[in-house]
Amino acid sequence: MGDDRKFLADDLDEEFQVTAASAGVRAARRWYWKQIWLSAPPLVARRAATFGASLMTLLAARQREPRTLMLANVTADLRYAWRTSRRAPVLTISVVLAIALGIAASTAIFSVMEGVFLRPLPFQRPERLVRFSTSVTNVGQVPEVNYLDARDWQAASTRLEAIGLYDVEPGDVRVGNDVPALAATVMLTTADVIPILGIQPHLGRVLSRDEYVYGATPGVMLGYKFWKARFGGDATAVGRMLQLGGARHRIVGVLPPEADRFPAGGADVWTALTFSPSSFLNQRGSIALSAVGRLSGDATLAAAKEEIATIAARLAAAYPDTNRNRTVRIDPLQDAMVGPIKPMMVLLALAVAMLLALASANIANLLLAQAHARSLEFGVRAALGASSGRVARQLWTEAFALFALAGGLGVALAHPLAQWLVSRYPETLPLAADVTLDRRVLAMAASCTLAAALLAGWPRTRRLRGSLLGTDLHGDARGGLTRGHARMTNLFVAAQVSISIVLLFGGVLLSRTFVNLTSTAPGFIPEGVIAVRASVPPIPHAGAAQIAAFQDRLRDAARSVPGVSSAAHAMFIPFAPGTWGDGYRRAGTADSPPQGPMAHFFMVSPDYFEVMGMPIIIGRGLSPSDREGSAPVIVVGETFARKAFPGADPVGRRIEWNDGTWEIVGVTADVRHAALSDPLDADVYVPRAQVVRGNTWLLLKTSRPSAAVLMELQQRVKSIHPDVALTDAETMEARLAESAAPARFRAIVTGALATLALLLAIVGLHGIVSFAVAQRTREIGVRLALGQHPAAVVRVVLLDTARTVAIGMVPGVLVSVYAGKWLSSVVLVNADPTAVLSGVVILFFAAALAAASGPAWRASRVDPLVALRTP
Amino acid sequence: MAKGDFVGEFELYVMLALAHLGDDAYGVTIRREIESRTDRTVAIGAVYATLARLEEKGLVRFRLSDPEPVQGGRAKKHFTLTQSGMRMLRHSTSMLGRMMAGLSPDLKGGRS
Repeated sequence: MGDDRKFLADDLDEEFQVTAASAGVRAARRWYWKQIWLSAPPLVARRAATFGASLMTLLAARQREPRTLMLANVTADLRYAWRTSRRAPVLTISVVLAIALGIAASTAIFSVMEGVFLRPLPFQRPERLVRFSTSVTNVGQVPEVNYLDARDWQAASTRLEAIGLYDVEPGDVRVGNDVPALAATVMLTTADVIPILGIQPHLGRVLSRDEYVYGATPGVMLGYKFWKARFGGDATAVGRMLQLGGARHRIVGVLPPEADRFPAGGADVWTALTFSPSSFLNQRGSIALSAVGRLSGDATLAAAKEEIATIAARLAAAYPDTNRNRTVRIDPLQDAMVGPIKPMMVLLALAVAMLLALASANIANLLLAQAHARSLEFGVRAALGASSGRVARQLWTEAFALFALAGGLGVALAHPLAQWLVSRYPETLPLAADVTLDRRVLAMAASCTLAAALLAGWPRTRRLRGSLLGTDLHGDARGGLTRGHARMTNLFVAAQVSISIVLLFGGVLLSRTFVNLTSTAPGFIPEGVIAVRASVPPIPHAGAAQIAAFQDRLRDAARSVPGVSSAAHAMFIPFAPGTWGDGYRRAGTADSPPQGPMAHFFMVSPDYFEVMGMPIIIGRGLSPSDREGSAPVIVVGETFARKAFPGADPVGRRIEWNDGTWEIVGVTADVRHAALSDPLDADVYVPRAQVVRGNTWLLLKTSRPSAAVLMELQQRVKSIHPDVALTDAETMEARLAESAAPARFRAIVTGALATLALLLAIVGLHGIVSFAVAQRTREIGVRLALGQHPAAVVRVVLLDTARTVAIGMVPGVLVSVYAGKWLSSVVLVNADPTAVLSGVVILFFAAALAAASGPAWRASRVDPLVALRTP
Repeated sequence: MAKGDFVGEFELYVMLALAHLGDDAYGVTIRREIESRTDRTVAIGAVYATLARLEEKGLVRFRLSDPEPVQGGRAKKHFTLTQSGMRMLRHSTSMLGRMMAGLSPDLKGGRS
């Protein structure tokens, strides 16, 4: 058809002239375009048909080739590939390692993602399970619900079979005479949770309904993993006694392995969730329990949502004080479980995919350079009668053999890497199944390998087939580059530069974020401070004064431990779950809580500031004489003072809160609450003795190792009351580190990927520049012979490199700008993206020039005589 | 030619146009011949695609004329029917005739 194009165009012209003469130019133009429009389909169809025909001819020819010969060819090709790769061991090893790393990382991430996202939870009809969460105006979404609300939903709903409530708590478990107690995750549930999930006991029984009633002494069920680890899978564990949080319980059964998939990370011990009618859990105001439900019959999720929304609206009308600002949300259980870790997983997947693409581009260029060196070899083979198809097969056999090796190695590395990822993952991974290399994962690894092989092998094959058409036969392997080859090389260099810029940018941004985070002052001095939660047993008929006195006794016991310089107790502490956020009214103003100003209220003992190293900036701290019955006083943080009383001395001002009027007596420093990245907020410190609540944190300032201190504390506390349980013991430093753990993990992983990317790109660039210099030896020789200064040669090579890198950077920088925006929308970013990007660009330039300087120097040392004499 | 070798409707038109035009058959004239006789718009691309197909089947052949000795004169690709092309055309038209035999001009009739 190609030949006919000219005739066709001429014909159109001829008729256009005729039509224009008879009907006018406008009509002729219209006719012309109509002709073109109508001509396209038949011509395209014709082209497709001829292409198809030639393909069929080719395939038919292939078929005629005897099978045995083909097989023999493959074996010969493989043998030849082996010899070729032995001749270039460095190339072979670097190709295999780079690709193996890429495949290993991609496969590991994919196998984790499969366990998290693609496998269903191992419960009966898991798609019918839902989880509830609450949205509160001005606060946002919390993954918990109110107990009474949930009971009302359950009573009124027809589209939900049941709603179960649960709470996962860290606890301590003692079996027999174990000292010390084991830290354990305790799952407290209402009676409906186990039936909702459809769990049957592995051994023994599950709790009966009457064991879920307040006042009953419930038995406990062991998680399967815990049973295997602690009891070695001994069936006689059932029936034995176990001490949990100060009380003795009988082990009634062992749960099946599936139960370890819920909640995320599993629980060691399951028992009944009970609380006294006067508990805060039993009040409309609290939102503290997780809820799981099962859709009934054939009710859809949408229908259930609608129904619950109606019920919630009714509750909001009935209890406006608490429920007015509340809406309920229902999500499929697994979605709710995996939701929080999705951004991180997507981030990891993208990063490893980019690393794999980078490695492939790198290999493509290596192979391309090698192909140039081998063009003479293939020219000879073609001259001896090898068809271009035969040569292509040889090349592909080489490439696939190399990549198959790398893929195998990658898969072998993938499993340990995935295990590492799961064990080091900073949050609990909601794995629905174990991370395994199953068929899906292996298929994924195979397709990654294949894609990488195609991407890396294609340019070389194209290039060598081109060289078989005779373009290179006259030349030699040391001649100049063809233009097509140079263009392809530059394209792959640009791709490498771009990808590594993006990966570097991400890695540095997240590493910088972590560094900035850990250098943020928390507002208190965490060094040497141990925080431990003390569960105070219910003291019958105890008034506020007795409870306060009991807490003071615990504090005094802590202070009496040798090596403890000071001790305090507090209801909530920073970097531990739980805060008391509340509205208040500045006395004499029209502030109307909860819409008005908000603050975090910390109920602390007077020594709190000393233990935490928080300075009193103005006024006084709290004193032991600020007790129940004395004038209500508070100490506020600087941000509170600035927000509530801008430009004025806050000391002596009053606020109304919690049915009282409180006078500010001092100002202290601001603290971060739950994460170092939290903005500073308004804080209020209230004397514990003036707002008494049961459970408490003990804080100890010590220079001794925490284990020894805790051991002694335990003994002292026991002598006060045998049922006081100490849990959650950790230093404040460890708590700070934990809060930064996700950022640290992201920094490590993306930092490692970025380093790899930079290395790959630099090694690749070095190879390309070396190759280009080798190709230009003769030209450089001529330049030097004509009197050019060697320094000028170095400059030319470096400038060439800089230009190639600069062009390659453009897409990388553009993508980075968007990547930065995306990153800060999904994970914590605490660094200036622009500064990081400029730094990365400069770093990359410097590294690229360093990589090019070796070859450039070699170029300047070329001996003109040798260069010109060499063929 | 083998039994069951049929040519498509448009292929038949192009071959008939070649028969009409004789020595003066090239892109422009063929297209116009069909357009004027069938009274429907004919795309030049369809003409060339069909000619290429017919050429492949050995039913038409072409010769390139020398450029016309005038300003802007051009070479043309002139098409003629081959021997087998003529046979095919006669065969196809006679088949058509046989198929139509016994039908009234409005193609009604049928067996009675």
